[in-house]
Amino acid sequence: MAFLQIVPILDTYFRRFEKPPKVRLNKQVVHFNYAHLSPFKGGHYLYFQDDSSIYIWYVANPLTTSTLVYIPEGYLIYRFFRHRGNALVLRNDANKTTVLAIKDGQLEAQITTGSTHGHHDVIDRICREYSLKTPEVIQLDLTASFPVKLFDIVSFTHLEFKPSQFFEDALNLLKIPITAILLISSLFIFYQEHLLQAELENSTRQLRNLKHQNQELLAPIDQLRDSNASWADFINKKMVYYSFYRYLSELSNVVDKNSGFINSVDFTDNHFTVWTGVKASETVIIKSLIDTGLFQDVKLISSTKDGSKPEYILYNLELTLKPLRGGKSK
Amino acid sequence: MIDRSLLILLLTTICYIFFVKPHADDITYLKNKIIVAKNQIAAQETIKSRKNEIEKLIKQGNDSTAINESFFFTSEQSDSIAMVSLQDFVKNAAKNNKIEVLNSNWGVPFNDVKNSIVTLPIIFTVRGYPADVNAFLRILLFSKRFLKVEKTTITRSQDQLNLNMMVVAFKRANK
Repeated sequence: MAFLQIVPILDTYFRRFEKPPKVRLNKQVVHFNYAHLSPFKGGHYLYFQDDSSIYIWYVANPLTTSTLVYIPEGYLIYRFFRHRGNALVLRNDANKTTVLAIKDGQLEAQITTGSTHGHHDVIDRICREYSLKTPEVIQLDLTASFPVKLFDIVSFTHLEFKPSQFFEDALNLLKIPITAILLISSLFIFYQEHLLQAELENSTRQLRNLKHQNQELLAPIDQLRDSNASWADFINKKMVYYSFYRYLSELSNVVDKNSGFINSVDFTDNHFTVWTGVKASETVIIKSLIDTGLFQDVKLISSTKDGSKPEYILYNLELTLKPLRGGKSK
Repeated sequence: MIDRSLLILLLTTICYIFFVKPHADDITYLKNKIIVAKNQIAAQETIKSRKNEIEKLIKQGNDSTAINESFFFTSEQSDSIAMVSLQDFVKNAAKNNKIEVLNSNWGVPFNDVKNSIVTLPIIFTVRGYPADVNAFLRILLFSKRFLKVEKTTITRSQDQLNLNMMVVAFKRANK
């Protein structure tokens, strides 16, 4: 299947028609009005239109659908020379001469004669018929070629966009590729899923084996973890404070340093309630107890003079113990 | 006229949406599961490669636990036997330090089911000179078993001290 084909100039018959200015004729209108004017059987033609004219090349041979775009060679020659204004372009092929008459930038005629010599009569006739005054006569070399531009392809494609038609055409064009893509991607998805399932099974089996191998190693860790949690709980509950002995020793030391004596000590939970007699003031005794670092708070409940020993003051103190790890006391 | 190709496309699309698309969604789920499994495998491989190190740590842990357990009466001992042991220990300590034990009352053992620990309380009433009481309390503090002195009242009677104290020991409960 070819995308582009140039129709040789000798296989075409050209005519230009006037049309209302700024009106674009659609395919159907062009076909209805101009197809029957073809001198060839079959009525095949190629056309393009500008603001005021429609240029039609009737084609001798049928145009097949195997080629997407056909462009007449005569158009390419005209498009190349149209900026010259008035010109006659001569082209010799085998024993025929084709003359393209360009007037004021418009292609007026494409005439083919049977002889490559003595075509001056033809030129004179064309000049008279199309009122061409002193046209530039251009003799084309046999090897001359004219490149096709994108504009030429667009000019002869005659696209007419209709959404419904476009969708239908697109669907017709793509239905098989889409079906194929869906089927292939379905197969790919199933295949990929199969591979991933196999990989997952393999990984799961490998993990199960490793867990089984490590089970013996890890079981004691679980036991240790439970044991540690139990010990941590025990320590948090039962070892909040230093031993009773340490608090009592420090209390005794403080009292002893102040030449005092202890009448009684009552120890409950986190409190010591002490009845003591010392020679020092309450400020000194309280400061000394706090300075041991073992008591969070020392409250003086009462202080009285000792009747039997006037130099002593009897204090009733309540000592709050400081927790072992800086936590909150009860 | 029914276009056969179009019909096939329609059927293929329906099949794709209802049968293939769920499998496509499963692929993401499978990929995530594989990533999780591979991470777990890597973790298990690490454990396996560090077997000796882990065994050493477990041994250290077990040794520490054994030392800690030695501070408790064992679970094989009954509560009564453990309390008798506790009472004998305290009385011996008192006797060795010239402390007179006036009285001893057994409390009710308390079972901490969560931690499998039984608390064994005994209330002692003892009497002695301050220096002897000091030595006696030190022996309780540094005893082989972990002993805790709770709820104590100390009163002075002339040169001697009277102590009414609750001594608590601990025993591992039967699981």
